[in-house]
Amino acid sequence: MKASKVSDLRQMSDEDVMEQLQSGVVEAFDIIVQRYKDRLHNFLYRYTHNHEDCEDLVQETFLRVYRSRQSYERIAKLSTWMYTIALNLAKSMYKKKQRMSLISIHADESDPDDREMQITDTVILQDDELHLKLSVQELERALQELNDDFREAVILRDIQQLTYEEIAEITDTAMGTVKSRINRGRQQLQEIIGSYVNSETI
Amino acid sequence: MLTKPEKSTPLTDFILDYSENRLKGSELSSFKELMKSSKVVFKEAVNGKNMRRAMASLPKRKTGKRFDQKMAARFALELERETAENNRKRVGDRSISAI
Repeated sequence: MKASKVSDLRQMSDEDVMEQLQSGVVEAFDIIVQRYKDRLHNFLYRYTHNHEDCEDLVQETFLRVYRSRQSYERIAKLSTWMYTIALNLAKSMYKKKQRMSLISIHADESDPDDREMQITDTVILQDDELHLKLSVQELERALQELNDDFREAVILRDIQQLTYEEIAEITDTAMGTVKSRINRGRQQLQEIIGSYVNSETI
Repeated sequence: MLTKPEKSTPLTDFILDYSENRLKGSELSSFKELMKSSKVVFKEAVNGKNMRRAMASLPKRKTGKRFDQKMAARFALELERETAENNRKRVGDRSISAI
């Protein structure tokens, strides 16, 4: 059944919108784009650290969603399916970039579009043993240094706020593994950040 | 770190729940007691909580103003490509049936 109006599509769940796209309602594509563009951008930015590359990757994710729309089955949440596509794209791009040693950990300051939704200059962590004042750049850098599996779990949990079940599905790993990676990832991050603090105080 | 398994243990679950403020009442009190008695547990729980908070506070990066325009252009090309491909298939099917 085809929905007649865009306003009808806007009221639908992600999965219903996807069903409309599968049945040929092209307008459903734009609804999906509007719902997910910022979420995917925020996710993929942790891999690209460059606004333009990130937008390309977000667009590519949406195009792949469209091309493989008939392979989507309602047993999975649309968001989970889309994150899986985005993660696979991010991984292959990241590997390519690592090979080319072109990773930049800074935002593209020359690009006026490279803005932030919430501006936070510093993040102050209250550790019971020491007070650490960390800049956003240091946190981004630490995240970049993290082991691949840990980084992906921490990003999906702490930045994208996904559930353990969703992360397990996206990364195709057992839930116990996901939990272990999140915990170990956070511990490793603290170690990396600790090394910044120590090197600054030496 | 306490252990390095690829599977979570009940202790990992408690540390994660503590880090995300999901421990309540007696569970929270018991875990705090455990933290007092073990420096290793204390350190891992505090580190977990700090990093969770730090990551969650990272600025959200959103798409630029021209994103919709660029996306629409790429999608239009995709639709053109799809139509051309379907037409080619149809022509191919017709020539097969003509034979």
